[in-house]
Amino acid sequence: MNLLDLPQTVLLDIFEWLPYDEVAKKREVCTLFNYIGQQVLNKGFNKIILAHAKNFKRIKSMLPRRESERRNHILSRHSDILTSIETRISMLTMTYSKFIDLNICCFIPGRVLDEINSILRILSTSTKQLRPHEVLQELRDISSMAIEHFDEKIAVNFKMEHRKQLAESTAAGTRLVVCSALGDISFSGVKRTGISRPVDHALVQQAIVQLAPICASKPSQSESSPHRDRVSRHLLKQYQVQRTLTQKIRNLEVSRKVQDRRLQEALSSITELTTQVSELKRQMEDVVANIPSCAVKRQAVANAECIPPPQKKPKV
Amino acid sequence: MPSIKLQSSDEEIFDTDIQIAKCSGTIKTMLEDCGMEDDENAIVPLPNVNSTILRKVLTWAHYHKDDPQPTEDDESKEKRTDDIISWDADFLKVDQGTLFELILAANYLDIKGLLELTCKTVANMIKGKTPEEIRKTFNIKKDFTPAEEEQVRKENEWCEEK
Repeated sequence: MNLLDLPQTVLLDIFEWLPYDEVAKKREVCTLFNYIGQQVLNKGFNKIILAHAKNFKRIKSMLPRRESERRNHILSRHSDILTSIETRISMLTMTYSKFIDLNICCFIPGRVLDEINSILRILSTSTKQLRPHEVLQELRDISSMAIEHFDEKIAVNFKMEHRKQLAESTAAGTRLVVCSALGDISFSGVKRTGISRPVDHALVQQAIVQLAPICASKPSQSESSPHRDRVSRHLLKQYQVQRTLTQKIRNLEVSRKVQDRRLQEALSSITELTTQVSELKRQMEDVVANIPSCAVKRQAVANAECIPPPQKKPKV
Repeated sequence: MPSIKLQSSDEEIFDTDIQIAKCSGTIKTMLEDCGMEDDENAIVPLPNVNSTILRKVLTWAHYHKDDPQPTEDDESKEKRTDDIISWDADFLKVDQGTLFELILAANYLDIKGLLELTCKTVANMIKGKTPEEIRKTFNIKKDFTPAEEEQVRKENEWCEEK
């Protein structure tokens, strides 16, 4: 019986016991190892996001609400570190997620996951003041290395693949460059069904950036350049329209969030007031209960002060 | 102590202490759902496990019968594979085929502790080896096309120091 004959769930279980860095490197063994490794890495990335959110929530709940007190709190460095990790995670998400969603690649840098895990472990075990710079240096280094390498060496080829496919389908060899650039656009155009996605917006931008040097580098081919000019002008216009739309949507989302928060605040102040009211009621009742003894001594005062309120209050 | 009878795929009967048999989630639910607990002569058929493997599984379960129930796995817990006790390590000094069959049995019988132990053992066999060494160890054929292999290799190049 061979290792590869085991069911995939069991293989996933086995891979879960390896550090993500090893999982990433073991993808080179065979196609099944590659497939399982990709699943484990993608799952690992999602797990990290959840673990980070959980940690952040926990630390935030332990910090005072006042900003000025928070700064001097012993856990303030913890919170700073978690904020930096959050930034790193969103950078990684921006780099890999669209390709993971399209099933073109997996979350490649396993070592980054190991590093984030070990930082989260330090954060949850230590309560003394940490030095953010020391703790985060390795993560900053390797995540930047991974993202840079991916953008320069890997993602470029993915785009080429798309271009190639599209160029083949149009079957116009001589205009391959222009078509392929267009291919990128139409590709993002297909995905533009949900306008609110900033990813698409970035893709269009990328395409334009790619197109610009093509126009500039071949001025000798005068017959085709007006066409290119037109295309790029058209693209720019499209891009601008898209940008204003996304801007509008973003604004709407922001204002909605603000409204949400206001509503939340209002609700919480209502509950607070309600508890206060009930508290006052209880106090009032106590006072009323004590009235007979007071009343004997100071009837005049009681008549003026104590008795009217208990009559009013219960109505509240 | 009440006992029950387990029947392996090659029809050997194992008279087993009920407490030990219940370390298997599968047998536990089977007994509880079918109300077989009080029936001394009930036979539980296990068509996916042969007698050699079932004997090993029961030996393991007997040794670990007093282990505390494994807690819900905590996400922040470090993935350690170097914490295998020496009895378990000796227990798993078997050929690869047997090891994999034990994994299958633990998976089918839903014995968390044994599944974890065997998976860790395999993970340790994978750890720290180059892809070529792994292919050799497990007799795996490299079935990549040259382009696929190049792609994976290139993707992993990001962390090589210059």
